[in-house]
Amino acid sequence: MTADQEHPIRLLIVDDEEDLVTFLAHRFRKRGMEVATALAGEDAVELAGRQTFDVALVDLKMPGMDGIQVMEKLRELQPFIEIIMLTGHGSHDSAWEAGRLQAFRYLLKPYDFEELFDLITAATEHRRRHMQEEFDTRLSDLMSSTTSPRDIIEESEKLRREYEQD
Amino acid sequence: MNTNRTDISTALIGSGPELCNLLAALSTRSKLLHLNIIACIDLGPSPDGRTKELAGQIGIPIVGTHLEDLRRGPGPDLAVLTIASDDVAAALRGILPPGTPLLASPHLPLLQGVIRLVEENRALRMDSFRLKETRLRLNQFVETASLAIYIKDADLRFKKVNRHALRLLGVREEDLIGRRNFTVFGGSGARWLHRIEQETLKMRRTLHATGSLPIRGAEVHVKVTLFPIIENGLVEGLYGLVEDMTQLFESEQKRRQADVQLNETQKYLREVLENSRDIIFLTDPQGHILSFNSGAENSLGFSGGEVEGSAAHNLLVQTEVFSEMLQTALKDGHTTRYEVPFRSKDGHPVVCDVSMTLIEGPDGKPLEMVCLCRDITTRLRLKNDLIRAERLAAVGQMAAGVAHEINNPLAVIDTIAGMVEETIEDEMGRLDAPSRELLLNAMHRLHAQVQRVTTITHSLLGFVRKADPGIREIDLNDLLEECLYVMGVEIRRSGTRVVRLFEPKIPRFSSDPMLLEQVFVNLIKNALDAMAEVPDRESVLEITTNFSANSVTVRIQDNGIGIKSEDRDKIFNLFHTTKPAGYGTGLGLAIVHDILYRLGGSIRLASEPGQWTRFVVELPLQPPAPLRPDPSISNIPGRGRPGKDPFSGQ
Repeated sequence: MTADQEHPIRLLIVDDEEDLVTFLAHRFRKRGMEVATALAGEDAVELAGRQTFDVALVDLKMPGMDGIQVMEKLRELQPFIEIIMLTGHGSHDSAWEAGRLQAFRYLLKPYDFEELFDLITAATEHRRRHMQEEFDTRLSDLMSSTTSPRDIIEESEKLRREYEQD
Repeated sequence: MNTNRTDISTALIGSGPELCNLLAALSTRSKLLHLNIIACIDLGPSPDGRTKELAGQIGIPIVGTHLEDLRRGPGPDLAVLTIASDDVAAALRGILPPGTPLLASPHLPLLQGVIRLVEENRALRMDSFRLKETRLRLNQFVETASLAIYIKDADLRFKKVNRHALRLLGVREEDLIGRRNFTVFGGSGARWLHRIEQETLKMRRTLHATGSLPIRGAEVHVKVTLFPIIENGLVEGLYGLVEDMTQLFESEQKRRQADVQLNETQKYLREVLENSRDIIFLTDPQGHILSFNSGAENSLGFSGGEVEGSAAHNLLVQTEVFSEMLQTALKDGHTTRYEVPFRSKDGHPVVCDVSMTLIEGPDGKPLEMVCLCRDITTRLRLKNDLIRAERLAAVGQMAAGVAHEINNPLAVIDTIAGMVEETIEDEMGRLDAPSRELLLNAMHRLHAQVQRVTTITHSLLGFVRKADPGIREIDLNDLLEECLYVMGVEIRRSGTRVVRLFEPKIPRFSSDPMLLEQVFVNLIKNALDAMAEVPDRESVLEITTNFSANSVTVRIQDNGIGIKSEDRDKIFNLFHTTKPAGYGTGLGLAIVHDILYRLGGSIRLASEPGQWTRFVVELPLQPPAPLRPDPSISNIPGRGRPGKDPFSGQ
């Protein structure tokens, strides 16, 4: 599944570098993504409370909430969101921390734009496949666990709504 | 002459030499014989008048030549006539008072017998006196000798002991006399002495023995000499001489001990000198080598026989250094120089701290020079490694900080450049072809330059030190496979054949896998670059793993352009690169060196310019002490490894 007119990639960019956010957003929008931006972690979390995203591009070092804290908060709000961590600093500790929190990737600035674009696409695909698997598993659990057909229909409708809203 | 009242007054009558001899014989023994010669009548005097002369010397009152002369004094108690003549004897009887005994021939030999008897008696009396004297002295000697002496009877009971023996044995005489050994000393000492005493009596000869006797609670080491007393063929007892050997024994033991110690010390010193790993050699005061220890042979590669007799300054790279040291040592007795480079037989560098000491002969003239050289080559290399690592760390910290600040604006520049490029492409119709080409080319160049800066800043970030490396268990072969996977695209593109000589039984060990990956990726990348410079040869990259008791090694060998010997020392230095401008940052090997230093490992290189280069990485099976595994990162779920790793510095 790739980004298309019906299902554009929903991207959140979080970075305190305003120029970077502006021009990145411009270029990704031009390539058909729906882009939201935040110049601080707190803003990003506030946005994620209102809006669902496929992928978040998060700067590791920011004043206020740092990238790791933002990643944790976004995961709480949206369990399926994929995070790509960006930084100008090559600290291994942060890299391992990002790994521990299951960031999709960890990229060093300045990144290759095409590589970043491919990575966001891949992360979106990963997220959608992940959700599909999750949905299928829960549906089959539902099928085998509930006896009443009426219950099954009600429960699966609930499940579908839960996943479609995303 | 003094006469005694009891002396017998004697008249001698005779003639010639016979009378003279008798006079001489009697006069010397007159006192002994209690004779008082009162007259000497020579009836036939010899013309030399000797008898008269002798009689005068003795002071005989009546000296004459006629019997009638006897009438001049009182009658003698005894008359001795030497002439065998009845007429003379009858005439003499007529003159002597009646009843006076006359000793004449043939009774004269009786007088001679008396004289001999008296003399023998006197000698006997003298001997007896001397014997008495000797006995006395012997007793004194026995009493006062610092030798314990005792006498025992045939029953081996003490009969007599001297003072020293009492002192030695620590007993009173009355406690000893009449007793046997067992009641005096107890135990094995008494049995030992008793056995020898019995042996002496049985063998009837002198015996010597050494042993110890328990005396006053202490074991006293003694030497015993036993003489049997044999009288009329019967063994009556024995003499015992006891010498206290304790002091002698102790001093002997001490001396022997000192000898052993001295010997040991000498042996030890010899061994230390001979087997010391330091270079030790002796020269004469002119600097010719006299001897060369095995440490010198090992370090420098020359055998003693090769250099003995030759000038020692040839062992040094700068020969004048040795000559200067020699002069100083001859003047001051001692001199030391640090970090002196030596010449080894195979040409490898050996650096030593050298101390030279002058040894003077008994005449005070210079005898020998002792040169003690500590091989500090390894220590120096480690010191240089440390300096290099510290310099790298300091520069690295700063550079990494700067790199971080550059990376953010670079990211903005690159993003904007990309956007401008896209815009130019989108707006093709509004631009004429040459302008479009020019602008697109400019944007490409801009992009390439950003890439160039990026390569540098990303490499510099490799210096960022963490508080602790992330220590985990590592399978070295797996790790190398991952590195080859990361470099897969480049390896395939260059058509390089990879030969894996992996030791399958390589032990797992603890280290930082991410740092090590950075090391090996860098080395593989360097190997590929080196082989790319020899395009007409098939590129072969050989990776070997191996292990020893406390380390693992990875050998990465390429058949590329090689490294010139003058570059080998500088190759690990920061910003040193042999690659053309814009290709190498001079960071890769500096980072490799830094990482390995931090992990307690090392890297060595060998190369044949134009043919091959070999890097050997050695890592300890146990990480150095300051490194501790971080439990928080020990269970990271693998997420695969899409594309390039940002930490490899590529």
